[in-house]
Amino acid sequence: MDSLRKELSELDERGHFSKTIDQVQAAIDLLEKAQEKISANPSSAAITLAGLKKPVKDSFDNVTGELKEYYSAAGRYTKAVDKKFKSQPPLTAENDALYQQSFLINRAIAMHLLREGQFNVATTFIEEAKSESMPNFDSFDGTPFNKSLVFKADTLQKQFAEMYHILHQLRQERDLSPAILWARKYSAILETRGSNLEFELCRLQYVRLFMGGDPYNSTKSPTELPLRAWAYGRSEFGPFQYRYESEIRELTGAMAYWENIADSPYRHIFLHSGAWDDVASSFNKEFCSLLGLSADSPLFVAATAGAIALPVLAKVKSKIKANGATWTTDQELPFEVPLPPAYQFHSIFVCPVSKDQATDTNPPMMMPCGHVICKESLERISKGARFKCPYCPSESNPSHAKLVYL
Amino acid sequence: MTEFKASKLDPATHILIDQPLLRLPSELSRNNLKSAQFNIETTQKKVNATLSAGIKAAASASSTQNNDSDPSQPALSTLNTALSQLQALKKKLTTLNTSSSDLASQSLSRINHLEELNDIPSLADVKYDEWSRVRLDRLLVDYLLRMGYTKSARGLAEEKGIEGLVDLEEFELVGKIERSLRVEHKVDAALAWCGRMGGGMRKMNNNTLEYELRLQQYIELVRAGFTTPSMKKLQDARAHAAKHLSSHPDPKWKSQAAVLLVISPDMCESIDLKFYDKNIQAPTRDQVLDEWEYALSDGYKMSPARLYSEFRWQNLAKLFLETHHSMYNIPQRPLLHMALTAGLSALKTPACHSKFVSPSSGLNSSTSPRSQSQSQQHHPRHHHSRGHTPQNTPTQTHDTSMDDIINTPEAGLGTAIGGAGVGNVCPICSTELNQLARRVPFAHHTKSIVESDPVVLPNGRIYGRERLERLNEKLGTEKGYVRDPVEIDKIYAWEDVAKVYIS
Repeated sequence: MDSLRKELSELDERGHFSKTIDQVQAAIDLLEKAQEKISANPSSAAITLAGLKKPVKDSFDNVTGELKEYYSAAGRYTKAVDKKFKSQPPLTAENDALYQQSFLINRAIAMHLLREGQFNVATTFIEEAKSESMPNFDSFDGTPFNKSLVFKADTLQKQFAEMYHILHQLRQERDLSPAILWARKYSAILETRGSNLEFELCRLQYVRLFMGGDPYNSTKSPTELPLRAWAYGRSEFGPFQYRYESEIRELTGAMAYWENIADSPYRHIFLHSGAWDDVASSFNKEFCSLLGLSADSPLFVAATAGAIALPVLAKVKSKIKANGATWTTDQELPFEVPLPPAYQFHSIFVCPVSKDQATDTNPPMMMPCGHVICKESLERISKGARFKCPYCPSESNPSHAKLVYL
Repeated sequence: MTEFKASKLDPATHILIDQPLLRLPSELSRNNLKSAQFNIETTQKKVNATLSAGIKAAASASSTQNNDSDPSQPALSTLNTALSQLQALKKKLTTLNTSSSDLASQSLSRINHLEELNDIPSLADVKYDEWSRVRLDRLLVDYLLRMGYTKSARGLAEEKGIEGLVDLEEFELVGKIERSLRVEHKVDAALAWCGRMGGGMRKMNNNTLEYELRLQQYIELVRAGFTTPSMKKLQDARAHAAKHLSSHPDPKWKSQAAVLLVISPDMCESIDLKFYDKNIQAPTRDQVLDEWEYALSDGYKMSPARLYSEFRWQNLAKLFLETHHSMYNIPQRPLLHMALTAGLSALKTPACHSKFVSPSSGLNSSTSPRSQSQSQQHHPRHHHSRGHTPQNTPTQTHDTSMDDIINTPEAGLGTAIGGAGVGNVCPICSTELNQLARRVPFAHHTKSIVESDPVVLPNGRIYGRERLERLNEKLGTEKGYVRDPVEIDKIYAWEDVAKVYIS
C-alpha cells in the first residue's frame, strides 16, 4: 500500500490543471492586450493580429506541456494500482448464478434492508424496484417484460419495526416490559423451542429492581429495593416455578445478601455487566427465528463467505483452465473452500468409503455396529448379501442398515 | 490448526472483489486528462483557424482603403471569437480540475478503507465483521446503481456515510444515458459520451457503439421518410450514411444498411413474416438471448426487420453499458452477483435443499418450495406433528410476494419453526437466499463434520450427546427420557439412544 499511497499523493500534487489553466489565462491575456492595442491604434490591426500567431502557438505548447506532469503521475498511480492487484486474477462474470434472478435478489435485498432497520432506504428501494429497472439483468428471464415485482413488504416492515422498538427499549432505555410482553405472547412457541427467553427477561427485571436500576422509582430506603424485587418475584415467577426451580431459589436466596451482593455467591447473576446485551441478542435471535429467518442477515453472511471464497475459487479456476481441463459445476464444487468455523451451519457427512457427501438420494446408513456409510457404498460392498463392516469385525445384513439424519 | 488456517486473513488476496474500488477513480482521472488534452487540441485548432481567417480579413480591410468602415473591426471581432474560445476551454479545464481533485480524495479514502484490513488479525475478529458490513454496503450500492435504482443507492450510501467508497456520480451519468437509449429512444446523450471519450473509444478494438448509434439515427431518418412519407428525409438519411457510416470497415454491413432505403417498415413486416418469423409465435427466452448474441456477434446479419425493430434500442443500451464498463475496466455484472455466487456455493450443503429436517441445524427452511406432499411420505418432518397453516404450501419460484414467505403474526408466527435449540439459522436455508441457492453447486468437503460424541435416536436423528442433554433439560423432560428436539412430542427412553460412529 505504501507505494500506492506515495503515487497517489504525487497524483494529488500533480494531477490537476491549475498550471494548465494559468497558461490558458496567459493566452487570454495576450489576446486582450492585442485587443487594447488595436482599439488604441486601429491601423495596427493587421500587423498586430499577424504578430499573434507565434505567441499563441507558444502558449498552447505551454498548455500542453503542463499536462505532462499529470500524465506521468497518473501513469505511475495506475501502475501502482495494477501492482496492488497483480496477484489477482481479473474479475470475470463466469458462472454467474444470479444472472436473471433479479426478482429474488431484489427480494433478498429488501428483506436485508428491513431486517437491518433501514426502513427509509427499504421503502425507496421497493418503490424503485416496483416501478422500473434496467432490463439487462432481469427482463429476459422468460417472464413477460412488463411483469411488475410484487413486494408486499409492509408486514415484514411492521415485524422488524416491532423488533427494533423492543431492542431499543432493551439496549437504550433499559426497559424490559415490551420484551416481556412479546415473550408472553409467544410463550407457548418459545417453550417448545426450549427457549429460556421469557424467564431470562423476568429474571433480569428482578435483578434490576433488586439493584435499584429503575430510574423512575428512585427510593429513599435501601431495604425497599430487595422488597420490591421480592414482590415482583412473587407475582411473576409462578409459571416458572417448576422448570426454573433452582434459578428461582438462587434469586430468593440472594435476599439474604442484599447489603453486600458483591461478596455473595450470587454475584454472577446480579453484577453481570453483559446481561442486557445477552438478553437483547437472545431476543433478537428468537424474534428472527419465529419469522423463519436467521439472526444475522443471510445476505451479509453469504456475501462475506463469498469474499473469503472468491480468491480461492479464482485461483483454482485459473489453474484448471491453464491445464486445459474443465470442471462441472452441476452439483458440487470440485474443491474445498476453507471457511472459518463460524460459517458452519450444518453437519456434513462424507462417506468414509466413497468420499461422497451424503445427499437425499445417497443418504447415510447406519449399520447395526454403529458405523455409518452412504447408501451407494453399502449397496456396492454388500451386493445385497450379508457383509462385513469395513470398519470393524461385525457382520450384518444390508436390510438391517438404518437411514440416519444428521 | 485447520481452524486457524481457515480464519487466516490475507489482505493481499482478500481484495479480489475490490479491484474496481481503486481502478475506477484512477481510470476516471486519466480520462479527465484525455478529455483535457482533447479540448486543448480542438481549441487550438479553432483559435488558429479564427486567427488565420482574421488576419486575412484584416489585411483585406486595410488594403481596400474604404474610409466608410473601421479597418480594425474585423480584427477586433476575430479577437473576441478567439477569446470566447479560450474562455470556454478555461471553464472546461476548471470543471475537470475539480473532478480530478475529488477523484484523488476519493482514491485516498478507498486506500484507507482497504488498508484497514492490515490491522485485522483474523477473519474471526469482530473488526473483520465491521469491515465486511461496509463491504456489503458497497456491493449493495454498486448493485443498486447498476440496476438503475439510483435513489436507493444514494439513500443507502448517505445513510451509511460511504459516498467516497461508491461511484454514485459516474453510475448516475451512465444510468441516464442508458435510459435515454432504452426508454426515450434517443441517441444524443450516448453520442455525446462517445465524443467525450474520443481517443479511448478508438483504442478499444472492434468497438461498434458509435457506428451502431449512427446507424440508429439513419434508421430513424429512413423510417420517418417512409412513414411521413418524405423524399427529403430519405435523402437526409443517405447523406447521413455517407457522412457517418461509410467509414465502417465491413462492406457487407454498409450494403445491408443501404438496403433499408428501398424496403419500408411496412414491406419488411410482410417479408419478415414470410422469411423469418413463420414458426415463431412469441420469442422464448432462449430465442431472445440468441437474438442478443447474434446481434452482437461479428456476423451481424442486419435484416431490415431487425433494423426497424424496437428491440434495437435495448441492444444499444446494452452495448453502451458494455462499452462503458470495459472502457473503465470494471466488471460487466454487479459485484454482488460475484460475491453471492461464490458465497452461496461455499455455504451450501446438501441439507439446505433436502426434503428432510436436519437435526444439526434445527431449522430447515419450511419456506423452501419443496413439495409438501412428497415430504409427507417421507421421514418425520416436524411440521406434521403440529397443526399447520396452509401458507406453507409450496411457494412458487417467481411470483412469490413478500407476504407469502413471511408468516403473519396472527396466523403463523412460529408455525414454520419447530424444534428446540435452534442454533444459528443457516443463511442458505433462510428465506432470503434459499431459492437463489438452488442454482449453485454445494460446497466440497473431504471430511465429515459432526457434533462431538454423536448419538442416534430410535427415529434415526443424530445429535451430539451433550447438546441433546442440555436441550432436554431446557425442555424439562422427565429423568430417564429424551425428546427429539425437532419433534418434541416424540419421547424415547435414554437406553434406546445409541452411540454412532462417524469417521
